[in-house]
Amino acid sequence: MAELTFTPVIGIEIHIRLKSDTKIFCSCSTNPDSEPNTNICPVCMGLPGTLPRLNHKVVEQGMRAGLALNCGIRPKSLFFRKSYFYPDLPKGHQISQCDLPITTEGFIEVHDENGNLKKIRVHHLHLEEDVGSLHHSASDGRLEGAATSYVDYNRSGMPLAEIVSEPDVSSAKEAVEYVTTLRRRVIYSGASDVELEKGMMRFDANVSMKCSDGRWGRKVEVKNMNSFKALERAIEFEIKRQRKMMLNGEEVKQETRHWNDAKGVTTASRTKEFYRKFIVEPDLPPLHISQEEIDAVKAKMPEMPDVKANRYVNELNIPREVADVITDDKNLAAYFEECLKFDANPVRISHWVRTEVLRVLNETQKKISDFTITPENLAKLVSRVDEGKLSTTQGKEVFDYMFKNNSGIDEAIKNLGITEGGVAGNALNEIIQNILKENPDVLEEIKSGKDKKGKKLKFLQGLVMKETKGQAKPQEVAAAIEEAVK
Amino acid sequence: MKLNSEEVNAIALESRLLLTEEELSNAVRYINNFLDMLDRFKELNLENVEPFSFAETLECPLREDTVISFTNTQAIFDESEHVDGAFFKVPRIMEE
Repeated sequence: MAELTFTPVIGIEIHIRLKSDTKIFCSCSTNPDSEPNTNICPVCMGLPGTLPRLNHKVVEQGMRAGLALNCGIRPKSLFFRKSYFYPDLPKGHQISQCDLPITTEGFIEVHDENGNLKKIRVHHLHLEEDVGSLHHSASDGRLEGAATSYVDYNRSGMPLAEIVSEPDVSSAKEAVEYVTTLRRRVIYSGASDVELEKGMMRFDANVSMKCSDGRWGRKVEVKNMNSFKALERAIEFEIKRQRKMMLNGEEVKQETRHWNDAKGVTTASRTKEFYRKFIVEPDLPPLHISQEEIDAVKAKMPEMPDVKANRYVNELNIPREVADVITDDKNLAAYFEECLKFDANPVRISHWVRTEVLRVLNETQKKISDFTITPENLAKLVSRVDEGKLSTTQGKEVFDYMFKNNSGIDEAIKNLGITEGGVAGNALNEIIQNILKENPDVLEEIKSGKDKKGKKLKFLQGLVMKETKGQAKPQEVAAAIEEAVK
Repeated sequence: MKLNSEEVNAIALESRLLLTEEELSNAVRYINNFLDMLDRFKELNLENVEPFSFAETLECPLREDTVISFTNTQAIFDESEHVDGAFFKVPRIMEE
């Protein structure tokens, strides 16, 4: 009998906080650092008699995010009230586009297990509001196990995009590539900063298994993954769990499971899902978007990171690995492109950005926006190294000096006492003569022919290199010394 | 399509409603009459008719993204019986 094989079938739902100054349906601030319950008003607190008013910026950000995922913009979309009986959203319903979303039918490309490109289809992206945050221990830090939870409604009504994929993902690795690529593209689009540590991106995964004997396991929804690592581990765990159950002839139940990151397991969870009761939001007429508006947003869309990386490879001959690293960060790519305006070799610049710039940023835990070397100074430095005016070692010294002292290249070279083009000619001969004067015994030994192995010559070369601070070319030093001792 | 009393009762519970026997049988009759009426639409030729989604023909009014802070948040706190410092208190909810 043939061995049974299993194919994971995975769909991913992502919530991303869209970037705007105010909430989606009211004018309260979205500042995440505000004191609890200060960014609240009758609208986001669901008080009677209030009306939601849609934020134009959020509509535009939704369009940008959708375009970044290769989605089409719908000329007409609609908001619904989705039943939600839970104290973190005081209205008792969430306003969400769910059924008639603003953008639909996109895709993100990932690499399958054979390294081939594969499209993960994006079913749609819709706009909705976030819920408040619940704190399960007391505001004064009192014990767990108290009879109450504490709510901060600042987050309630913050704008979210929910992105729903088709079940095209086949492994945890593909899932991680899907979410990282998607995140990078959304950041490039300007729709969101998607800062993971600030909870701006949350994932749910629907995992089921198809067996080679024709059996299909039921869909299990896994929640509570807040990082790429957690998403990867949760999917891997769930694939193993369902596979084992199906091998044992057990039936996988349709359920919601909760990822426990500390224990590395999923557990069946009490669900806060209700009957999916929807009505059309009567306070928000359909959202119509004209072709002119769509074209205007499209015109503002920047080049996407993968397109940019391909351009670097094809037009600038930059190695793929370097191009991928530079385009991973929108601001780093912008810095690199700024450097190119100053006539340095793109490939050389790319290597400096990839190694030196990222090294010092990493060492100092700074962002590229805080980087002190101007693109012009880096371009000049790379050119001078390229032209042989500075050795690579000197180039790195100048780089570090410019970074630490916020200085220009000429100031750095001067303060480091570096002679561009190295020490040669008369200057070099002068140094050699002085060294010979200071070491008459060595000179005598060489002249008398006792230095058969050339050890004394090497000794003199070392002294000269030290005196020139490494700024002379070793071959030239050797030749000049031999000439001088004749 | 018809709903039985068990299904209607489940919907009522979801809506946080407790119905008496009499209210339940009335609700079943009322809802099924409504569903019967919907069934009559099936007799119509609706090809090329855009699905109905909203009763008004208004444009969705959009708002500029400018912060206007609500100044009387204290009034909102005053309306709640369950407040502790800067937080609203609710019955303890803890996901497993």
